[in-house]
Amino acid sequence: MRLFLPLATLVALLFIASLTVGSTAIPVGEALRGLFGGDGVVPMVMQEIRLPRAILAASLGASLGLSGAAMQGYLRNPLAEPGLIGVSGSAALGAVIALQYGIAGLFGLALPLMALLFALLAVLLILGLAGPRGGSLTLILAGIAISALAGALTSLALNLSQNPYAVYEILFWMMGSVADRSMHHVALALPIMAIGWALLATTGRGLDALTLGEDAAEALGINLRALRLRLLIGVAAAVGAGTAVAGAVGFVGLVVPHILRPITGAKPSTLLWASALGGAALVMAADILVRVILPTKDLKLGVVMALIGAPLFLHLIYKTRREMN
Amino acid sequence: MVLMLAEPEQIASLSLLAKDARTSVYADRAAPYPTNTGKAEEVALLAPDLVLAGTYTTRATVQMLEKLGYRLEIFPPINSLAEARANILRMGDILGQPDRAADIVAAMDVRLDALTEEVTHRPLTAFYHARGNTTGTEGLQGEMMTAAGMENIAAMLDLPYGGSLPLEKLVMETPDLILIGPPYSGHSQATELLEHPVLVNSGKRHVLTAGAAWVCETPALLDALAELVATRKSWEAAQ
Repeated sequence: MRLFLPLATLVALLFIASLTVGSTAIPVGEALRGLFGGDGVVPMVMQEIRLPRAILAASLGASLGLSGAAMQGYLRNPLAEPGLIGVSGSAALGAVIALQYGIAGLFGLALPLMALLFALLAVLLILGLAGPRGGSLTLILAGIAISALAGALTSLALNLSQNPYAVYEILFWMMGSVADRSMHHVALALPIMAIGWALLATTGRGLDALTLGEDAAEALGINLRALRLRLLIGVAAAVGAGTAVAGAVGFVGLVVPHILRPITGAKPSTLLWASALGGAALVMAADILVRVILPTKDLKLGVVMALIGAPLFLHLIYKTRREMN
Repeated sequence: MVLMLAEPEQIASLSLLAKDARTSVYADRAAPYPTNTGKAEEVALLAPDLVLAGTYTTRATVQMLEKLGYRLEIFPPINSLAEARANILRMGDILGQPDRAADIVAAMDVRLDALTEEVTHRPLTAFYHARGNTTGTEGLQGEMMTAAGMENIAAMLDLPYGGSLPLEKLVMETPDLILIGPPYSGHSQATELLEHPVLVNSGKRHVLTAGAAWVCETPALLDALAELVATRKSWEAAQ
């Protein structure tokens, strides 16, 4: 609780900031009034351009933070992150295939569900390769392989597109962006992300017990198979649906739990919701940053996230070196 | 241009683009002719008397063909209707069909005259493209917009050669008309931007159908102009 209030306030403030920053200057008061109806261009810009952007940034961040914390809790490895181990990349591949081969048009939720399916395959593959204990070396190596394959297939699918502009999109799918997304995208992704959040929220008690080891957890009455299933589907739904409309954004699930872990007393159940709020705050802050630094250039979210996340990743590798040897 | 000026037996081979309805208004007329993909080897094997190339044809290909002793005529891309006229006349001379070219140009002048008129109220118009780019006031498209009686939003934004115009800024400038090119098949986010609800629901978005007409210096350019004029008139009628 001590942590909840400041984090929630931060998220609320960044949400408002995200709504008031744009390529045109709209006075804050007028902008916020425009959210709640009225005629003219300001309400149009607020409701149809800035609001979906802010909602997507917040919900994508929450998905990534939550998924990172859950996977790290389950594998008991601080390097397990959806972007690094190829889950986001695979989700992006699923989304690209759905869009390029017309699957996305078959029924309403086909696009996020395809991304979910591919994310699920990636998580299954990772868990299969890294084993229940998730040793760092196998985890990272498997992640590199899956990321590389997903990235290559994404590029291939876009290069084969009949639309000459599709090639420009490779950057979007690898780096992620929430620029100029519409309420349509929110309606596509948010329900499935919410299902993912709900599933991951139920893993808290199991993850807490798991810190004592698998035998101890089972002795405490935790069904490890059920826990694993909820984690798998939860991560795939949250990351898959978010990536389907915003591309693969890396490092969120690495940075946020890392910062919050000491403050939460390293208790996985607390870290879960704290990372969801922290992730939302971080991605919104990054999205505000890309708009402030280069307002007309559509800088990708992944660029900012990698600048923050990669040094931390190096630090973590350095720290876990002893474990690897 | 070649298709409308040359005799059929004068044409040895056409660029692949000539048969693509998206880039060629005469795609159906091009159907009976063999095509090439613009590689030096392919062109040399045809042993033509004359090779026509654009400035954008790969330099290496052009130099190779020149070295092999082929006669090359290079056409720069056009930036205005006046240059289109000049190019048609030049092509007529090159192909030995100057009368045909003069007739075509004369007919174009008559039609252009009929299409241009004094406009008292010019609608503020954005010609909006994939990736959020807008057409500038300079160049062929800009000239055609002005000729059609439209006020180009690029003039207001100081973008003479066009450039990036964020969606939000476009909406805030409250243009009267937002022109969109014909859609491509296949999906891309760059073109999905043009389907954003904020544009579709604004009622100002107008999808142009004459895409290929904009590409080459042919009388079809005036079809594109006619479509712009018709768009402006329907806007006027709605006022």
